[in-house]
Amino acid sequence: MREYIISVMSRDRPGIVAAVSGAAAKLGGNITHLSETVLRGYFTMIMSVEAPDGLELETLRGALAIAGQQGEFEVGVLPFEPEPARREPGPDIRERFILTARCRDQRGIIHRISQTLADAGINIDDFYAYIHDGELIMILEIGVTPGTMVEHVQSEMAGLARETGVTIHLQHIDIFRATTDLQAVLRLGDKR
Amino acid sequence: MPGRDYILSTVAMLQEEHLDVRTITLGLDLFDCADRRIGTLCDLVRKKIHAAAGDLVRACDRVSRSYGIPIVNKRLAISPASCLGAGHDAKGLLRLARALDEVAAEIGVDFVGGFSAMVQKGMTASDRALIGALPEVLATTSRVCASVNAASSRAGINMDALLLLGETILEIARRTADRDGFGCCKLCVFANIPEDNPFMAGAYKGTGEPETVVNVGVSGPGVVKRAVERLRESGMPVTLADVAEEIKNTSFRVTRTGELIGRAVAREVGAEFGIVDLSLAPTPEIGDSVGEVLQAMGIARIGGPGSTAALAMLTDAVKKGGTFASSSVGGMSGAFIPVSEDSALAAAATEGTLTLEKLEAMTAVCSVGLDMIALPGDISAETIAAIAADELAIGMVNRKTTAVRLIPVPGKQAGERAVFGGLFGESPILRAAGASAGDFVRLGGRIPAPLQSLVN
Repeated sequence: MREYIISVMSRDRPGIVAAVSGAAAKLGGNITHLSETVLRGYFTMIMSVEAPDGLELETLRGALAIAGQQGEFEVGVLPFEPEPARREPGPDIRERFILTARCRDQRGIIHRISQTLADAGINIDDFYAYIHDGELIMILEIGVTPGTMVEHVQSEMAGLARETGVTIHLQHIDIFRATTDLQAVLRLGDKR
Repeated sequence: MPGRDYILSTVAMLQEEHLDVRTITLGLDLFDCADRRIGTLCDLVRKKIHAAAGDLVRACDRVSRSYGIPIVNKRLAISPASCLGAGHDAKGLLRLARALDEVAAEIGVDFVGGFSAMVQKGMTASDRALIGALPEVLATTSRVCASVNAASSRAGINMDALLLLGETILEIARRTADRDGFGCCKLCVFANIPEDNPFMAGAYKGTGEPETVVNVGVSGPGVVKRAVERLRESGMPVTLADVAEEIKNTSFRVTRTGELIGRAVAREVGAEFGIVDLSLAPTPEIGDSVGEVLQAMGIARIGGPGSTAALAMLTDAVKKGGTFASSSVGGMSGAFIPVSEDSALAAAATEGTLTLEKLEAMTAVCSVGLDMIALPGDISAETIAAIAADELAIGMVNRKTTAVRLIPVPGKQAGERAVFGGLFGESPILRAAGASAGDFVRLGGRIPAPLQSLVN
């Protein structure tokens, strides 16, 4: 058995997941993970598929690409490779934070924020941005490894905010979990 | 990632509506410091506070930075000083208070509560010594807060204690006359005092509490006010039930934040986590006022008709949201209406719509009582005792906590202004009804505990 990571992009319409998953099933593939989202009317999906031995990457890509109308689906396929082993064995012990930023839309601001995080060695796990009433709103979930000074990141972000006029806030994710999740506060750590 | 709308509304609560943690109060048992030699007792108290609470302020700062939530006040609540200092006279207890004041300054906490006595059924020699020491203690220390429990639903009201406290309050006011009787701001007289209250001046560490325990006072009324305003500005048809739901939801979120931060601090300092006190505690800042919440609910003149009903609904909704949020709710958990500490209430008192009598009625449906009430300087000890007895009777009969923090302002009359400064604010001096209750008060003894059945 081999595993592939597959992405599909297209204009959104009903039936895309059904068409793609049907094509995968016809080839003996089994979908084990899937995430989809729609952005400004465009559909995108990423999934992990277990494929029977002998099913080649190009065969799979071709079958999925023609699952829709001609030229409708943009399909990308990569062989799955497990994450490199963590330096420290055990569960992910990164502290998670939510970074929110808002400003009048300005060219390059997402790059400035993401570059600042990259320079601090911080990974973006989830990112959502949209324009509302002319204002660009960004919501990022980031993981901070133990030993990284959160104060340093906060200070970098404060500097960026002063320089660009962007309103930036960095809060621990447990604040948001505590205020939205019905699970007891005492148990919040269990979800990390 | 949590829902994006929730993230943005939570960020708005944190950054624009100033959601914070109003107080982290570390309760600390000091009974093992008791000693017949007052010098030894004071030394042991200093050592134990340094050992158990020396890192409290730094721990709060670390948690505050890590979570991005301000912790406004860091406080200490100790075992009742009248028990800790049993066997010592007023001079000895004064030395204890000074030691507490010094060590509180050394570790950087804002206040230390627990210079307290429980006298609801009678007074011991050390209770009398503690009350006797209060004028000097509250005039010459800056961080020590005192409280006396003079009534309970099971014991009734100790009128002898109330008359003694009336005289004591006048003496404290005289000793701090240059600050409009400010010393009285640091003394609360209670019915049914809670053992886990994190708010000053009434915080102390009850005998049923753990060795060290972190109790939390959650954010102020500003967040609730904005939630009510947003709802009413939404353009949707809104009823009082919708307003109550909005307050419940807000209280849920505020309470959860308080518990999260409280548990984190407790872990940092190696203490047990105690409770979240849901009380909406105002400050003199504009936008941080219980009175403004009532105004947002549609009460144009605080103290006018509808004020008590609105306050009842607010308090109930806060409790419902908070108790669903956490199984560790305690303290006083209601809405405070301290006149000088709440700009909208102080303004209503200046306009004359909020009177002593109306405040008393409002305290029947909220916590905690006649709080931060400036009174004429020529008021008698008997009248102070009678006002306190009225308020404590509400607590005694309704099996709830009530309290008074009364401040006679030397040399000033009703209508003049008392200025306490900082978080204690300022307010007009309220008129106390003229008729004397001196004969009633001087009868003395104890008002018996009320019937606990036939409750209709």
